[in-house]
Amino acid sequence: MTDDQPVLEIRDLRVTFPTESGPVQAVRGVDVTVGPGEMLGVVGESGSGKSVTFLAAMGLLPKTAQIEGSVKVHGHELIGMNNNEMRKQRGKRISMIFQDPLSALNPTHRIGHQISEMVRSHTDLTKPQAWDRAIELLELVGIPQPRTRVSQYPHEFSGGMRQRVMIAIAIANDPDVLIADEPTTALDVTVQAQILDVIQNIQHNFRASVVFITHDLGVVARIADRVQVMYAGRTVERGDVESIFRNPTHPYTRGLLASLPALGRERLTPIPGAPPNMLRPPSGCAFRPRCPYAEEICAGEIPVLRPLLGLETACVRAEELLVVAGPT
Amino acid sequence: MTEIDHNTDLEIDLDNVGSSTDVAQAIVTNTDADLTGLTLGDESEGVGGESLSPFRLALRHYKRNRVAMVALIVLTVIVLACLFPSIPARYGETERLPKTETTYINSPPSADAWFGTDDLNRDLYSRIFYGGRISIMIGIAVALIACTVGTIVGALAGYRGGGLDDILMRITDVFLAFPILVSLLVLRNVLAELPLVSTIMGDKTSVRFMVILLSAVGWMAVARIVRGVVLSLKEREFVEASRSVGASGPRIMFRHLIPNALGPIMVSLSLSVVGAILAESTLSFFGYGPSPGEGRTTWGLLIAQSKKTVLSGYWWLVVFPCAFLVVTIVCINFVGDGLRDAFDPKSDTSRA
Amino acid sequence: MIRFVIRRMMWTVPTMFVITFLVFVAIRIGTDPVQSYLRLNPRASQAKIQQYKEVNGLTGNIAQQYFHWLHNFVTFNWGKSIKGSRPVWPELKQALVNTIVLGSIATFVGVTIGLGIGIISALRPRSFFDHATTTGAFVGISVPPYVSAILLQLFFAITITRWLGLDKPLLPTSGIYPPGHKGFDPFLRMKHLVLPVTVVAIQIIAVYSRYMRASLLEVKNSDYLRTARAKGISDRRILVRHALRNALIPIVTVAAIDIGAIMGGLIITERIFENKGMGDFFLTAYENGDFPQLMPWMVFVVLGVILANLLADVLYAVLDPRIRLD
Repeated sequence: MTDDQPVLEIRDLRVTFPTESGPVQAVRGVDVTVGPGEMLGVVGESGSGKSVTFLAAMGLLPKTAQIEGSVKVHGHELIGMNNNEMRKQRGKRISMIFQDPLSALNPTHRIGHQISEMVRSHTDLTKPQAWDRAIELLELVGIPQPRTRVSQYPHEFSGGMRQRVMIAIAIANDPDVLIADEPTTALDVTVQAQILDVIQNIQHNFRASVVFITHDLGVVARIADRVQVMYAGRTVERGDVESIFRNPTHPYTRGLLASLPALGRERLTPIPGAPPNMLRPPSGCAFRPRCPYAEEICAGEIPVLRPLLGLETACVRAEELLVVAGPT
Repeated sequence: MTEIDHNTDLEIDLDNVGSSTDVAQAIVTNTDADLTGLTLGDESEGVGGESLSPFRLALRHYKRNRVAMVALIVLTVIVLACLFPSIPARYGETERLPKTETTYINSPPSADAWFGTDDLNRDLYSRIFYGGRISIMIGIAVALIACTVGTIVGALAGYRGGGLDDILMRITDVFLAFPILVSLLVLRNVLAELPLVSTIMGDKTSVRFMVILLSAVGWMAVARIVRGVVLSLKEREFVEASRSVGASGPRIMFRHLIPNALGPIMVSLSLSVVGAILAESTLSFFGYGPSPGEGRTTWGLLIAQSKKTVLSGYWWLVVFPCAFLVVTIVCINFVGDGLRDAFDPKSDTSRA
Repeated sequence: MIRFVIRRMMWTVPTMFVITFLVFVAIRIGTDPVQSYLRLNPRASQAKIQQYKEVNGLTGNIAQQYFHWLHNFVTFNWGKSIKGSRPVWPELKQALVNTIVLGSIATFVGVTIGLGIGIISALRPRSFFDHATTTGAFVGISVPPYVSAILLQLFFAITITRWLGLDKPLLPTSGIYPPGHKGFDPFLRMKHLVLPVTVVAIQIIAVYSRYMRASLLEVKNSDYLRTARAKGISDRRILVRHALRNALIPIVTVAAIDIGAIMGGLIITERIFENKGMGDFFLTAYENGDFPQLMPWMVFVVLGVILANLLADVLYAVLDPRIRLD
């Protein structure tokens, strides 16, 4: 952990969506800290609230969403900003790339236009200048022949290239925080690797703070500096990537790692059960119904993160389990 | 939709496990509860957890739609009243009222004649129900025939493709290029002159003729819709799956494609009824519609007859038949929309 | 693109042949010109009948008759109507003009209002405005044009006149000009157009407001719109450059086809309001079994539809870069 001020600081974020069947608590008190030049991997299943947390930070949730808590980028509070102010932050201070690059790009606009639009809405560059900047950016993310490519349309690019374009758009104004929401999920494995390289380059060469949201542990192991595991709208464990993978302390994290195939393992052991219905989450620890070590105490208060063995865990029985469950 | 079995054996080919990420992915994303899309669990479970067939599911969905339910009730009332006109009617269809101070030729609404009387001193209120019977029956008959023929032809064309499909598209292209009224009028004359056909269809002014004429034009729109749906469904995996299990063409068509096309088919049905009622009344308006017999009437005829009286100011002769016609059509449209929504909610982008 | 257009145009010629032939046969089966002639000239002698037949190419088999007609048609020898023996072209031309006037004004009004309503509805879904206009659109679609025409006539000719105690109707309910009027008077023309335009516009508004709403909603929920928001660009820019730009594509193509259908699409309105346009022309010709009038009308209508379809396809390709014509 660096001593500098954290670039992104989220404190006790809560997001609730009113639905026909009642209020759904998608995020139930989440803290996030990312330092400068750091890559935080956020891991969780669909429904864990991992995307919603950062959509809330970007201000991209529907107006009906109820958001509480604090989100600060370099100390500037984003929650509660009015629409106009928030708009100025998006794309300048905090940027996001999404999962499916084909549908995330406007099919009727040229690539160069889509990039220069991003540039011109936050700077005073003229059209030709912005167009040149777009070509620069394309080069930066590794797109060959950027001068020709820049006037093409999204459907003329392959999946991996499109994602590079998305990245180019996102970094166009040198944002402080880049949020990548499952950017490689829709891509082939080999292309995946290339995109991860691009993102890592940006992290290192621009000292950007990156949040990498994914459900793919392999990716996290490969590029993240620190990991945050989310379940049912809360953080259950977090720490540096080595500690998390070497000695996870939360049963959920253990379960995730145990379910990966490895040489020497003859059977796969998935986590039984399914994530909870967020209309009525279980009392206490939300993982309780699926946890092999659950006891009465787990149904009590919702566990909070506390330090243990160099990482933070939100399991009441974590210490006991070190003995009981043994190393993974 | 079968639930993924979480408990024990996942069928994964261990020889082929690419990266560790694939398997972890499979396990970790074993759920449909995607909160950013706000679909909470699988609605196809009933209260007790049992799964419902598409029909029961659609029915339940439909019942929740208040507007559609109201429309359905109103529609049922009107249809029943018209199918059994002697119940709501106060006088006979051709019965001429005795001349009194309030009921004379072309008299405005009064206690004895709720909707007024026409130029033969007949009670408009009662005539509306008698007239409605024919209009509605024509509508239903045409819709059933047109949709059956259209669905079968359209499904065949969509599924088989090739020559049949091309012919279908050419023929419907030609017909649909002309305004419907023009097609109807020209076809009316043609069919009435063709020797064999005209004996089957009867006289130009008979109800039977009208039903066949309208069906002959109506099936085409349905066929095109169904063809389109089948074309898109054909590429879906469940069709491939059926084929790989050895299902034959017709079986695929009937057990898989058509049931999945029920949404658009329902819409076609309701649109056909509306179209038929409208076509019949429009033709009647211009004098080319059916004349069901001495003194008897249809909604189109009632409105057509009132046309002459507009300038005389006999507003009731115009307003009441029009009102019934419009209310019926509105209700059918709402019901059709409700049905489509019930069978295929994703197709409705109005719930945003 | 040019190649595509040229190729389509070339296809049009044989298509027209086939269609006009089919139409020719159909109309001939349906209406026998000799019968119509006889009906209007019941005391014509055999010699006259024979002469009529020869002049109008009614001898020989159906194919010969068709080619006779075709020859006359392409040499602009369109003959005279059966009833009244009037030259076909001048009347047809006038009808064309009238329909174009009525059609374009109604389309312009209807599409503008319809799209406007659709856009607002899509921007505020489930609001009171949205629910009200959706219901309105449903009702609008459900009311057949002849019903709205007749109700409007009733209302303006009778009801309002009585209420306001006028001795002349507030808005004229028939004709293009008051009876006996000669010459061109734009104000009077407009006044006579108000009701027919309203009737046609109601249908257009109902349909296009639904289209626009659906199309814009779909675009609103798209991923690329979320990306646009993530860029921090202004809401206005998002609405116009991203949302509307893409939402209008399907609408423009449909509009092109609708415009092609205008030719014969106003039959009811024109007849009820005694507006002598193409629709009214057809109806009169049909009533009289007036073959020489019917055929050119058909040709115009078909041509209009084919050209409109071509326009629609071209527009689609121009607006959506994913579409490549070939």
